[in-house]
Amino acid sequence: MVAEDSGFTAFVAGTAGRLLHVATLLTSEPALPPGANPHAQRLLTAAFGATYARWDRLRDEDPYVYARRELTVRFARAARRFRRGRGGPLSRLTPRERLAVVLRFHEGLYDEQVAALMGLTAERVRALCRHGVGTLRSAPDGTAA
Amino acid sequence: MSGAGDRKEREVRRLLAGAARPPVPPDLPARALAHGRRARRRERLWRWALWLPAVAAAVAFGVWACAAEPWAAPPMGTTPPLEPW
Repeated sequence: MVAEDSGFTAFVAGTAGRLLHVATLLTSEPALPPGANPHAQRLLTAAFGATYARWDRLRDEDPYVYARRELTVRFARAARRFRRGRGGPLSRLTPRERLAVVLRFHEGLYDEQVAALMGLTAERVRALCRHGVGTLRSAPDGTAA
Repeated sequence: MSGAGDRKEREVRRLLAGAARPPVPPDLPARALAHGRRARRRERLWRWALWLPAVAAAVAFGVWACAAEPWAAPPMGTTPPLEPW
């Protein structure tokens, strides 16, 4: 069963660190100690799994972009469960604000790209980012004020 | 206004970049692979579940058509009139 792998394991090894960071920021779980972010791990495992299922048909698509989109969609679908912060640095933001802020400022996407991923208008994404940034600045350490 | 906005955004960027990075559990790749294999199997099963009835229906139609020959003219109900000798 090794032959059908064709680079997937290497892809996971190379991107898991960064994507797990993204997932943990989204679920607002603490990064440490190890194992404190079970929801983020589950989301990422599912996103990687979906990427593997499509691995041979990705053609010109960047697998990292595909995996990130899967992660985003899965988080957005489960967002209601992450309304309450769990101790991460973005705990005070709503799930949508977290998504917009992380995609915009951590992943470096444009407003329009974030809007397309989230199914919102670019103006709405800018508003979410503005509000998120304001909230973060009023409590920079992320702890409840 | 935009200068202040840029400064705030830079601060948030720094906050995100400086946040503690979670260590990747060593079994995560294996779990992802298992998840992906399950997804592939499920997909294959769905494909079979869709194609198999379609193919079966096509074959059944073919067999029925060969046996019943619905395009042939139905047998006449009456005997054709006898030509005069």
